[in-house]
Amino acid sequence: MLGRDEKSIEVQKQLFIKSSSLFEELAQKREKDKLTFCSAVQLYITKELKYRRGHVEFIYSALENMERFGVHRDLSVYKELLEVFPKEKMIPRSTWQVEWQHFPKQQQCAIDLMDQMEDYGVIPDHNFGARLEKIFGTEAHAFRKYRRMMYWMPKFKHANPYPIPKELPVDALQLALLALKRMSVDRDSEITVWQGEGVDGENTKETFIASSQSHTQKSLIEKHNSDTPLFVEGGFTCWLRYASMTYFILRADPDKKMLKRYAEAEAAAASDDNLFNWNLFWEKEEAKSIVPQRSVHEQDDGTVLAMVITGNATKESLVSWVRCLQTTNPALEKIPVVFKLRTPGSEIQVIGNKDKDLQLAKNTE
Amino acid sequence: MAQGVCRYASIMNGARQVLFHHRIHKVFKQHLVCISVWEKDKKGGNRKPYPVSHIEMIKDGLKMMGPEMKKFGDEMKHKFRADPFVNINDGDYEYIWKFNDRKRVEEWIVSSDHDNNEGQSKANLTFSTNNTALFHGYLSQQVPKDGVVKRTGYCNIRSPTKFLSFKREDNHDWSCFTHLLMRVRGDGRPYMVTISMDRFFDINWFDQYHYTLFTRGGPYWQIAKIPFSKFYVTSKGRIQDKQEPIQLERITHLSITIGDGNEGPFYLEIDYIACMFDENHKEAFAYESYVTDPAHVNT
Repeated sequence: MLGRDEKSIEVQKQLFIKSSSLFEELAQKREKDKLTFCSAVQLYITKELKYRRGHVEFIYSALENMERFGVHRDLSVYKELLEVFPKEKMIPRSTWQVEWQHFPKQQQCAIDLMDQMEDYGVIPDHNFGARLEKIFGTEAHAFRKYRRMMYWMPKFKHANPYPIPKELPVDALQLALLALKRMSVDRDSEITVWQGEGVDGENTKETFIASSQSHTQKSLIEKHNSDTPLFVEGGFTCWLRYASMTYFILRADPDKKMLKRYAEAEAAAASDDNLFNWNLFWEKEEAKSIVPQRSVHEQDDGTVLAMVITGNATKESLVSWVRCLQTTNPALEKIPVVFKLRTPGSEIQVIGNKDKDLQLAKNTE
Repeated sequence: MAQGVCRYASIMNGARQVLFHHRIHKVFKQHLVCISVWEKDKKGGNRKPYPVSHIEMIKDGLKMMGPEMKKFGDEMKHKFRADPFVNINDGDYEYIWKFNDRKRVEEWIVSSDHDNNEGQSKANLTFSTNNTALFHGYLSQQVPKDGVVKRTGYCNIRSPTKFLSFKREDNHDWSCFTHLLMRVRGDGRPYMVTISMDRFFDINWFDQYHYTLFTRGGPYWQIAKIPFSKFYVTSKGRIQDKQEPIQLERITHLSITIGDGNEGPFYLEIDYIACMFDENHKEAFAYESYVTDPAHVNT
């Protein structure tokens, strides 16, 4: 900005304000959707059919407004925006023009547009490239950017071993089901949804309870000593790309005796001394004891017995969740359940070495 | 004219090569980068002045003499004893960092965009009640209104520098391993694992190798096994056109970054970070290394 005269800066500002006011006007008059957004772009194109005055400013203001219109993850809209650039006027004709950034402002604008696409995980296609080629040619920096995107982005498209669908559902229940399915390590897990008036507890009328539990977890509850309590803990956050949810778990304190047995069994299996349980070749190998199998739910820091996502994440909904669980887990009726809840947004209390921090933590308790 | 050059540089670099599907690999600060033929500072301009005076530094240094001499003695003993070379077998692993001690967790360095006046994110690395390290905080997307920073939101933890006696910097040698193993429990967000290395020439100072640590989310632990062949090279946050496999002989740091562009709280519980040798992993490099148009590479 420093190298330019004030007049042109002023003109640029005016153009930017002018094009943002177009979006502002349409946002107030009509529904904020793809149709309105594209009509704004078309409005500009029909108005500036020949000269395309201020098209860079128009694209920048359009990029800013995309999220507001809910079109920021739509490739077709980005293609539509490319149409705003004048065609065939900015193709460099020589190597020098290529290297000295032919039409730098316009190219930077196109690169920023693609940057935004990257940010929202929008992968361009060949049609996008063809449109870009008509504007800047294949040698320009903007086109190189497109080529890099086409190389790397599809490479990482399916890199996630815990995949999430590209289009996330808007419905909270569907989203919760997705999250539960992703979090359930046990393939055997069944996801049950309680919804509507059939469930006792008042809050479930408007909201839902989606709970995940497997047969192994059920048998773990059955085996649980009814003197020691179970805990409902949460809310923890869980992310599905850009959507976050709050989940709660039903947890038991770790069964130290069993964990010790598992550890012994694992050590025995790993040790070379127990590789063969025979001394002579014709001797039959027979197991001496039943080795307990550790389930995935029995972790060192506790046993996970069920997971839940409720519509409103209130304590009432969790109470009715436990009641719902009692229908499938009769043993749960005898076991005391303690609620250890914190607000999902609240930060974790850090108790440091310093005495000051300890005091602070005590005060908040 | 200087402005023109700066602008040109920014556009050249502005051809920011990649940010993949889950918005992990992100360049947060896109300011005008002045072209120069050499790099002045290994920290790339983020160096802060020393908080203590030279006299105090000498005083502190003298206090260290005792323990450092002992350390030096141990090193010498180790050297002359000449420990035999141990053959590495399939499935062998070594804990590089196991967070079962408060001291080991506190050695790690936590930083966020807030530290560099680039944002409002908060991060913390704490020793949790489960005897693990808990990296948690709040990722903020609020861009400071300084007219320079375009997008923001990152938090990072970095491993402590390995020192020999008398505070000589040492490197990790992982060349015998093929995989990075991490036992973590996350919140479903993708994290980025960065490996930085000690390189001599200034053109390579900012070379870093990245790959993504995808977390499942939920109360269960997961073990991530990332092959080193999948790490790709970047410089100053930009993925490079000219890729080459990671060289594991002189690793200085390993860091874990969150910056997926979603505002909100995050947490990642880490039990250990280890290296592993898998005999069946034959892949040298996961990306093509064919020669592209030399006029377009890295411009």
